[in-house]
Amino acid sequence: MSRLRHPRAVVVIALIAFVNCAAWSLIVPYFQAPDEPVHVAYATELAVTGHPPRPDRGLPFDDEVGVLTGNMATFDMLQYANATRPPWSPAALRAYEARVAKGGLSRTDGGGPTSASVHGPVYYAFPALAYRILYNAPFTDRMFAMRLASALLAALTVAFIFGTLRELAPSRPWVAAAGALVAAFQPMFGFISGSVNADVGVNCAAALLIFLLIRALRRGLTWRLAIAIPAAMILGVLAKATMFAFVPVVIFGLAALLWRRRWRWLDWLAMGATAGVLIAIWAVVAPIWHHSFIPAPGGSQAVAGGAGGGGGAPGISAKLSYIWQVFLPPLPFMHHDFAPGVHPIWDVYVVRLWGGFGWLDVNFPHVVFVVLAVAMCVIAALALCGAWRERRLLIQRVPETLLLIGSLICVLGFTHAAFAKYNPAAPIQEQGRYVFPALTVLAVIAVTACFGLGRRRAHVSAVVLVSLMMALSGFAQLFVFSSYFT
Amino acid sequence: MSAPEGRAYSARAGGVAVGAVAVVFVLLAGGWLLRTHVRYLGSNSVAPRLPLPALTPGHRLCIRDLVLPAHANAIRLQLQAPAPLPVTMRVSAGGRTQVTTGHAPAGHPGGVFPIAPFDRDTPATACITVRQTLPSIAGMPPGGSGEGQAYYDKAPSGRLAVAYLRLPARSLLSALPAGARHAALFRAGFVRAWTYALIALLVLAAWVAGLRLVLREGE
Repeated sequence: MSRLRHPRAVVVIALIAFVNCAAWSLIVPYFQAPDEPVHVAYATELAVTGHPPRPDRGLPFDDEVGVLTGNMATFDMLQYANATRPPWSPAALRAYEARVAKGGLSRTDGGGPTSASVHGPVYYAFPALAYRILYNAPFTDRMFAMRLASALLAALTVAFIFGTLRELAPSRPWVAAAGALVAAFQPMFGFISGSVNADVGVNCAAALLIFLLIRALRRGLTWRLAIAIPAAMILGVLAKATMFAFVPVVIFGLAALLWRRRWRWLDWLAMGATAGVLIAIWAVVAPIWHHSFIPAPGGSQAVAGGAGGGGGAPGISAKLSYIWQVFLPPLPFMHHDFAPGVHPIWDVYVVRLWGGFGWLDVNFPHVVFVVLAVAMCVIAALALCGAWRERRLLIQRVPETLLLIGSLICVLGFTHAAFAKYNPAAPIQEQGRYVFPALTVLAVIAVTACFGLGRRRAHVSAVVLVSLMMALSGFAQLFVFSSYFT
Repeated sequence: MSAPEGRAYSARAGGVAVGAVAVVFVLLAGGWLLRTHVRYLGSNSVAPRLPLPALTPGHRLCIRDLVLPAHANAIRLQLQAPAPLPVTMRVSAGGRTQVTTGHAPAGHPGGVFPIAPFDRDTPATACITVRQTLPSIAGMPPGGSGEGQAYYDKAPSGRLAVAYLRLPARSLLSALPAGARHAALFRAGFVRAWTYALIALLVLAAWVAGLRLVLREGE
């Protein structure tokens, strides 16, 4: 029975996630998601020419993207959706359609460098494929198709989270369903997954990698897993270099596999061969595409890192001090990286993690953030309590537990180290959604919290948690819709 | 797993919990939809990002190529002064000129100018004058196209952030159907206002399917 139910459950969960992300893709106006114009420019260039943007090309946007952003006043209203609105007039749409009908809009005059062109092409291949499928349709249709490609990857992400939880708690199927649904209805996850953004790719790759490593730890290494693990890691890096955060996680996972002796030499050979082949392919392709062999972590990090840095790369101690100050007040010997009254943990992990929509210009009312902050504290406390109550299970699964904790720490550490700033007046660059490569871990924490009230109440607690997350997601969709269109 | 703690709560208890959350959600969201009031009928999509040159007595600032949406009965600009400052606006639209007065507020940007509404979208030009210097007028620098090109006397001055209002404000709930029509613009060809009702139903169906799954998997 459970053999039959498990595949059906994962399909239902993925379908639910897809519907939710597709809804987001129809709610948010085109280009009103973070950096969406440059991500779209990358995907269209890849779709039309077969190669990523190049530093020696001129303009970043082709005519089609440029005309649509112009007619939608994308850059006129940028970061001011709270003070103005996108065009509502049918006359504005007619003007756009007349311009398109006039013809002469080139698809090949873009492809210049943008903040997105540092990323590898793996994520963009998906929206580019969607673009190619609707190649002769109007650009507004192709935009929608590209957003749906993101929604599809988000559905896969949620499916991998389901799979991981299923591996961790096979005797309690509701754990996997609840954890995956909590992830699927996280409002910022849905929002970003309904747009064209490389974060969607790295989130998917990271969820897949965690799933594969946990599965290998639980069941032993097979040749399929041995091929899939390096593929997920390398393709993830070529989706967005945030994936480098998982290098220590992979090393730990492989070390744990070696220690457990649940492998064959052939599996390790397959793993090495896969990694070698993929790296060799990229080593050949990258120079042809004028792309750096090792992708940079992100478009604006260099700027952020240098903001007020006073010249010279900061040392490891400065980065550690910065990371400390993101979460806690500075210690007496630390350089103050944030201005007095600035609380980065609030800005990044409450506001931007839960309700910083658009270009951070559509934010939940303050009271919602207060409720969410309290809820996060309660869930954290319950998760600790739940972990204590289920300590025997954790002791049985020490490597899996350490791998999950390590994933979260590595993602947080990598993100904050990449964006570290040393000028207190400089703006905070980190977004809460940058933690989503560790979304699996957050889902595990959420379901662990359900055990905090005792095993008898765990299932009901999970039902309540999922219901609340759905309600929050629904409110977020209504709120964003009303912010742009009423 | 550690030792069992006794019989778990039934799926029925889970169903009751879902019902309770649903009731709370409907009450909170319904209250928000009814108590939140909206007054936008449109805007020129120009952000109040930068200050334009101050307007001094004896000069006028004209905003050309506006399109007043049908039924708009006020225009809002983003003005600000050290103390509340009366501002006179002349609106030329539909073959007639209306003279209206608003105030540049102190402390926050604003300035609402009531006008007589039109039955259909109507091209318009609006000019503002002052008797004391108006130091803060928000908009964008010169360049670009679209509504709200501003001219200081006859010289291009930038673009003003303009919003069209319908007063008194309506509840957010009553504005949702019009919102669906606005949202359907600049979308894929199949998207119409009804698409948003369909999306709402699909999302609700997804919620039901997800909760049923969690409840069923707990049995």
